[in-house]
Amino acid sequence: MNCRDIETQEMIDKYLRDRLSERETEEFEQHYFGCARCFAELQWRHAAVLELNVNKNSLKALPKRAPRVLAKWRIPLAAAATILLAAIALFRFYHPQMPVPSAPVRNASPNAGAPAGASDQNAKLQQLAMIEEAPPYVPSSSRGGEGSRALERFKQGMEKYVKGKYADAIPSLEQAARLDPKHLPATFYLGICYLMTDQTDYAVSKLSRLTQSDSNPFGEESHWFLAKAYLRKQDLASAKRELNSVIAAGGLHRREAEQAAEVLNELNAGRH
Amino acid sequence: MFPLRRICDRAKLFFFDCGSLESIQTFRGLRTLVHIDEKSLIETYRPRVLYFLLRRLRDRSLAEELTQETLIIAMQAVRQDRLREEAKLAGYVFGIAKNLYYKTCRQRAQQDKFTADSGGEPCRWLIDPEAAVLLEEQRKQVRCALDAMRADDREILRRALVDAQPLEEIAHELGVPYAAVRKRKSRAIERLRKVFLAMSQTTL
Repeated sequence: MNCRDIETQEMIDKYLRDRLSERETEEFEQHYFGCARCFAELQWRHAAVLELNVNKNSLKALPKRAPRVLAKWRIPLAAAATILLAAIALFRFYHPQMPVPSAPVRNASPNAGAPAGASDQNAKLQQLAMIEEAPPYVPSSSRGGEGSRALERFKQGMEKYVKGKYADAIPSLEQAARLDPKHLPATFYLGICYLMTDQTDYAVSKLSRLTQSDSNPFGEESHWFLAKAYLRKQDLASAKRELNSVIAAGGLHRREAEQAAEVLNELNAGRH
Repeated sequence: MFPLRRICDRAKLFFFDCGSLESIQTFRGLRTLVHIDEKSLIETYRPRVLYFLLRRLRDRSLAEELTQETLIIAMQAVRQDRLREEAKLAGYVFGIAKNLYYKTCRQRAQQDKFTADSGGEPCRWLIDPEAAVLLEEQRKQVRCALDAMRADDREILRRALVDAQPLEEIAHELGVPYAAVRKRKSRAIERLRKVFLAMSQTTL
């Protein structure tokens, strides 16, 4: 039995529900005695079930989907919307001097002064570079033992990070990363702080360190946010390279990365 | 420099072969025998042994007692150099814990009472109060991660993980496409996993 078997056969779930045979149970138990990863997975899955079960009454039931009373109007409405959009596009094409209302873009690079001809491309790049939400961080409660100085600085920085005070978090995280260069979370969240405060070059420098090896837990996210940073710098080739790494990793951001890569391809085709 | 270094190496091997305690401790890197740090042995295996025994016994004090006994036996084996390879340590500790469990069952002549699948309720361990206490630390972390999640994602997770509802059924009941439910569930699980990995990085 190996980790792959355990994942593909959903052994952890079956073990928790006592659905394994005695032999399988023993094999799995022997495996997790020697495998920290599978034991951690077992623990958090069990904890998640316990927590969800305890709070099940506090979870709101989702509203049922609205009845499809508008179903028969769907096609005419879609056609009307298409015609309306086409009319707006034509109007903008013949009146380019009209101010184009742009969607609020959080933390995007300032491109307000770009010439009108490049405005579409810039808008698309801004859209791609937008960060809807900084990666979440959940502070851990102490598990005993005294923390190192690096860890103390990291915790101080992350207290500010979770409150959205990214600029204030930078000095503590810088110290943590300097005291312990192997402390990956410090480097990662420091990179994110720089990104959120529009210090793109610093963000690139920090996040690049984490993309050297994909075996760390921040590998995929580092590629993803690095791609965002390159998009802000309008370095499309590097952004494309990072997006490809995200797609290859096949994780949480794969779908978004594929969409962003498609848009980049369109932009590149438009430029040529 | 080079011959001097070779002489030193040979001297180390000589002392090692003589088997003096100092030489073993000083030059243990040269041996095939491994030095296992007792502190790390306890830190690594205590949670695993306790989880294993508690799941089977459902008795916290008895599980704690047998965990202590397991670790003491393992440490004695390490001290007496009875363990030749570090890779076999996990299997060795598991063997001790398992044997102690069966021994306890035999002694009480109530083996059926302790087997996990004799409770009548198939998923009892999943929501066992003892497990809730044992995994208190992990639950705190999960709670924070769940709070940061959308309510509908939590509901999908709850139905999938607690109620073991098939995804098709969840999709039907919530009026959400199957593909969306599948994607949202896997994203939520991935997010929880990442939070845990990040936390284990910060706490190690």
